Amino acid sequence: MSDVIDRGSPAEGRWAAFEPVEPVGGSVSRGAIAGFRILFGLLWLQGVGWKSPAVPFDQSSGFFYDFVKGAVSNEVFAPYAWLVDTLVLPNWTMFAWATWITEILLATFLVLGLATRFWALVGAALSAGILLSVANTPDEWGWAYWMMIGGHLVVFATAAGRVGGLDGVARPGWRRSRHWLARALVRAS
Amino acid sequence: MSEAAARRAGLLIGGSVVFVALLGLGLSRNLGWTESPGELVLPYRDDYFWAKHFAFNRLLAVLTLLIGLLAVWGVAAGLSAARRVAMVGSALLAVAINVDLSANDQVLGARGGNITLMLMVLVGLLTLELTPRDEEREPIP
Repeated sequence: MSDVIDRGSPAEGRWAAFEPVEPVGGSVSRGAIAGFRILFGLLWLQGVGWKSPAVPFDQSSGFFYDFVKGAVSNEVFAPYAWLVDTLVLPNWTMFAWATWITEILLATFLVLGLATRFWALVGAALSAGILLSVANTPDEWGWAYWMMIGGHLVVFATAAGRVGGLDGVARPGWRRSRHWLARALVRAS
Repeated sequence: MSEAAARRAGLLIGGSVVFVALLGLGLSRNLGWTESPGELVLPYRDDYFWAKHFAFNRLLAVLTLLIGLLAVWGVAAGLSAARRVAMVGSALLAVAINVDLSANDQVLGARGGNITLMLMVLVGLLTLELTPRDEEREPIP
């Protein structure tokens, strides 16, 4: 990969703490960072496969519904179980569509390496929701979800879209632009 | 963004789409051209898991490949018409797949993976269109 790593100008004040770590220089290491990001994109891509609005969104036969219901029947964290019981399950269709669309967008943006840091945080948040839903469900391996959270945070911390992703190619152009969308993309990448 | 960077971005977009579509085609090789929604029920074996859950319909994956290649050609050759056709085609297919997914009787037999590929083309090309080129920098007010 021959991308020029765009380090940008250092952030000041409260944003300084969120600056990405210095990218490593070796092509193998940079390839690993890009591969790690794409791997997480594929993870979400596979996730959207078993959630089809045609069938599993139906409460009576939905594996997805049972999956989320685990937050109540195999409680991990009481306030979250209460939230799922009183807000999510009664509004299941809306919640299922929102989750499905979010996972599609996660797959799209992480594979492309576009607005990667923002979507990595979204992925970490969604992974936390899954952890709180199923970590105590029998036959589930709770560590998998901790690793998903950690992996997304690594994608965020390394600004992984700047290596082999669209962020790395388009970011210099965004930084020169004063358009609000370009400014937002600079922050998100 | 320079023209060279734009071409590289186009290759990244098209390359990503083609890679995922080929991966999906390979993993769904035992599925046939369409799937019935009823086949999604458990239990699943590991090979079933990988094939089913990778979420592709073969015909749509092939269409995606064509659109992805059209996008690459449009960006590499600087043909805005080809880029626009790829964008409109991917948008139309994404809508069609979504409508089909919401229907009781699916015609296309698509999955979320097909929508993801369409969005990759659409979002990627839109980003390229909206990112200013070096020679057309926006005036600073």
